[in-house]
Amino acid sequence: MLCEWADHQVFGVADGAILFGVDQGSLFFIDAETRGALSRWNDRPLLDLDTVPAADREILEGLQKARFLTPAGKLRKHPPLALDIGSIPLSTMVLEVAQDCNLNCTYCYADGGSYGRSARLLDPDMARQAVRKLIDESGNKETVTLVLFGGEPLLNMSAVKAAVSEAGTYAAEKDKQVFISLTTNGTLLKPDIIDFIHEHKLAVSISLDGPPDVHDSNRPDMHGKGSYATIAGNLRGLLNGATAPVAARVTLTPSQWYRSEEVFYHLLQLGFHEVGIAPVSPVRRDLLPDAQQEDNLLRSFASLARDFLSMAQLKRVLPFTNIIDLLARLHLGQTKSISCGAGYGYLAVDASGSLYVCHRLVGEETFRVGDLDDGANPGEIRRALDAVTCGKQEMCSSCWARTLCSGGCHYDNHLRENRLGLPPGGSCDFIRRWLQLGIEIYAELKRSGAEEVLQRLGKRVKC
Amino acid sequence: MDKKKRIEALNEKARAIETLASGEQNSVKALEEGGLLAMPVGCSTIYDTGWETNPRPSNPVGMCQPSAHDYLGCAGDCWWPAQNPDGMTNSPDLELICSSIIRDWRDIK
Amino acid sequence: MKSNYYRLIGIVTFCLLALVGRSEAKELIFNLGYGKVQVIDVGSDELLPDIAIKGWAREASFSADKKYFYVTASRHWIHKVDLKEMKVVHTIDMHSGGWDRFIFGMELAEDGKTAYVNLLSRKTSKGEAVVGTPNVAQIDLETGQILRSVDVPFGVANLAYVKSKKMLYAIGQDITMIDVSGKDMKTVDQHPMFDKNMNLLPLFTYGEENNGVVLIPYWIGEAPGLLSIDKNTGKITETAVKDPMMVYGAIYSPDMKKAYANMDELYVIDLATQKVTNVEVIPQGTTFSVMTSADGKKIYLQGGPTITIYDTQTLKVIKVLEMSTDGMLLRRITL
Repeated sequence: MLCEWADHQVFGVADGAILFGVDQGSLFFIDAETRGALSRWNDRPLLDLDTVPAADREILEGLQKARFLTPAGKLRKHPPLALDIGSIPLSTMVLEVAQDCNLNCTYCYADGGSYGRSARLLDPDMARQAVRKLIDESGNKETVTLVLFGGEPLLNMSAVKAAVSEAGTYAAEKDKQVFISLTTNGTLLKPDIIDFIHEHKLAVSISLDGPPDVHDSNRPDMHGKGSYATIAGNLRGLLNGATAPVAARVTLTPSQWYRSEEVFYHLLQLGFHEVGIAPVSPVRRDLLPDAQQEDNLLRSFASLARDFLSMAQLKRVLPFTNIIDLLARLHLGQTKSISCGAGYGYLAVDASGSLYVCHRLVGEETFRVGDLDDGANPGEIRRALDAVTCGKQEMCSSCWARTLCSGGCHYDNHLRENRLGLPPGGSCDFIRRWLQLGIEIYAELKRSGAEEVLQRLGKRVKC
Repeated sequence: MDKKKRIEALNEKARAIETLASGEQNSVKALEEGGLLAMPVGCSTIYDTGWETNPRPSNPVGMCQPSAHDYLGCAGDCWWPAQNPDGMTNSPDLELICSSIIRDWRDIK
Repeated sequence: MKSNYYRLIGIVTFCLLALVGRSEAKELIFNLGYGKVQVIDVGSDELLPDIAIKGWAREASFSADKKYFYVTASRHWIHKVDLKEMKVVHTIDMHSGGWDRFIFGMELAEDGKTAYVNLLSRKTSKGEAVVGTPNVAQIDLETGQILRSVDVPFGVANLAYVKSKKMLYAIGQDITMIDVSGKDMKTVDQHPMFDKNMNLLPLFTYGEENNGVVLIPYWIGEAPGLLSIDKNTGKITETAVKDPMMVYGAIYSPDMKKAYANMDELYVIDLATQKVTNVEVIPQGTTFSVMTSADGKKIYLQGGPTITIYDTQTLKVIKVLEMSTDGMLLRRITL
C-alpha cells in the first residue's frame, strides 16, 4: 500500500526518541527500534508498505496507526485559516490609561511611556466607553479580560477607577464577567491604591527585573536613580492580603540572560505568585543578542525547566510562567495557525481612544485599526496583520515548529524587519530550540508520571 | 508481563489518535468476523448514502428517479433509516401512512 | 315433432351453455402494493378490482394447483389469497412467541401445506436488543408454527426451491444449499460469491413466469452479469454482460434467447452474444419490477405508482397504467 509521511520531527532521548506530529500536535515516545526503522524509511516521499521487510513493516504499521503514515494522496495540506475577523468577538482589551510614565527604563518600547506621542492621560469617560465596548462586542463569551496598562496606569487613577467601576456595573447588567488585571512598575503602590486593588480583586503584574543590580540598571527613574528599593517597599503591602495573583514580569537584556535563574529565584523569594521572564524586544540594535547570549538564555531556561521537573515529582508547580504556558499547550496538543490573538479578539486602546491590534504596536500608524467611536475596521486589522506576516508562508510551511509558533510576535518581527532592516527568520532558531526544550521536558514529565501537575496545567490553558 | 510498547502516546492529542486507531481496529474486526454485526437486513448491510448522492452516468442521472419511486420500498425494509420511516420498527404500518407517496403525500399526518 | 324440437333446443342450449360455462383462460399480472394487491388483466391492460391486504406486500408464491396465491406483507404476515374469490382468506403472522421475525424469502413446499421462509429475528430483553440467529424454517401455512429449521449465515435475502434435488437454495452473500429431504434440514454445500467480489440484490425474482429460472443481476466490481438458478435442475450459471448496465432485475423472453432487465432504463440483452442490444429510458422514472406477458409480446415495468407497458417488438410505450399504490414486485399467472 502506497503511503506518504506526515510532517514530523524526531527528538532523541536516552532510550528512544520523542516523535512530534506537526499538524496534529501529537507527541509520542518511540523506542530505539522504532526510531531505527523510522530513520531507515522516512527519507522517502512515497513508501510502498508492501515492499518493506516484515520486521520494519510491523513498526511502520504502528506508525501508521499513530497517523505518521497516511495512504498516498490522502494527506490533507491544511490551507491557511481564512478567519472572518469581523465575526470574532472581543475577548481582551488592553486599555492604556496613561501614555506617560514616572520611570525611564532603558529598553522601553513605549518611548518613555508616550509611545512616541506626547504624554497623555485617558479621559475617564473614554475609559468607561472602552469598557462598554469590550463587553458589547464580546458576543457569546461569558468572560472578558480588561488589562489596565500604560505607560504607568497608576498615574491616572481616575481613569483606572472609572474603568473598574464601569466594568462592575455594566458587566452585571449584561450578565458577563470581567477579569481585570493591572500592569504596573510598582513604584506608585501607595496603601490606598493597594486597598483599591485588593477590594476589586485586580490581578497585578509588577515589572521587576530581579535583584537590585539587575533591576536598577534596567529601570531607573527620571533622575537615573534605581527603582528597586521603592518597589520592594511597596511589595509587602500588596502581597499581604492579596485577593488575586501577583506576578512578576521580568525583562532582561541579552547581557543579563545568563542570570535568568538567579533572577527567577530572587523574585520567587520576594513572594510573587508567578514569575515570567521576557527577553527584551530589540528596540535598538544594541539590544539584539548574539549566539552566545542566546545559548545563555536557553541554558538558564533549561535549568529552570529541570527544576520544574523536580518539583513536579513532588506534585508541586514551579511558577515559572514561560514553562507553564508551553507545557500546558504541549500537553493538550494545541496547534495554532496564527501566532497570537492580536486583532483576533484582542485589541489595544490608546489614551486618545484609537484602536491598535496590540499594546506593543500602539503608536505605530500601520497598526492603527479604528477608534472607540467607530470601532475596529476588520479590513484595517487584516491590512495591519498582513503588513507584518505577509510573505512568510513558504518559510514557515517547511518548519516543524509551525503549528507551535506560527510566526512569532508581530511586534518583535516588526522591530527586526522594519525598524532594524533584518531579514525575517532571525529568531526562528531560538524559538525552535525553546520549543524543543519544552517538548523534551514535557516528555520527561509525562514519562515520570506527573499526571496531576499536567492536569492542572491543562486546566490553566483550556478556554 | 506486557510487551513494552514501541510507540507510546504522550500528550492528549496522541492519546486521542490512539483511541481513534483502536476504534477503527474494532470496526474492522467486527466486519471480518461477520457474526458480531447482528442486525436485520437493510440497516446494517447497506451503507449507501442514499438516492440523491448516487452519481451514476446513466440517464436519468442518480438512482431512483423520482426518488419517490423508491420511498416506500426503502422505508419498509429499512434501507436508509435516517432518510425515511423505518418499517421494521418505528413505522410498521407504512401502508396506512399512504399507499402511493406521489399521490397521497398530502394525506400524511 | 314438438318433443324433438324441444330436445334440439335443449341440446343447442346446453352446448351454448357449455361454451359459456368454460371460462376463458385469464392471464393476470399482480402488482404487490401497500395495503393492496392490484390486478391487471393482461389481455385488455385494464385494472381489475384490488385485493385488500394488511401491510405492505413484498413476496409471493403461487400454489401448485393455482388455487391460491401466498403474499408476504410487512415482512411478517403471510396472506393466503383465494384466486377465485380474489380475496385474503387466511393470514399467519411470523411475529410470535415473543420474537419479531422478518421474512426475507419464501418458497412453498411440495406438500402444499407448508412453506420455507428465511427469517431474521429479534426481541428485546431487559431493555436490550437480542438478535436471533438467522435461519431458514419450514412452517405450517395454517398455523404459522415452525416445524423445523436450519441456521444460515447473515445476509440471506431470498430462497429458491429445486424440486429435483429436494434442495433449498438460500441466496445471500453466497448461495447456501440446504437439503430438506431428510428428517432435519441440513446445509450441504455452498456456491461461493462473496469471495469473488460478487455483489447482488436478489429481491426482484420470478420463478414460474420465467421457465422456472431465478434470474439475478450481479456486479463484479463494475462489470455486470446475470446469475441464473434453474429451479428445475439446480444449475447455477453466471453470465457476464459485456455492456454496462444498472438494473434491479431481469426476465427472459419466452424463448429464453433474450433477457429484459430494468432500473431507470429497459435493457434488452442478447444472451448468445452477451451484449446489450437496446436501451430505452423509461419516461416515468426508476422501475423495480419487470414482467412480460406470457406470449412475450408486451413488457411491463413497474416503479412508484406507474406501470409502463412496452411493445416488445418496437420497444415503444403502448400504455402507462396509473396505479393507486406504489409497488414492489409484479407476478404473473394464467388461470
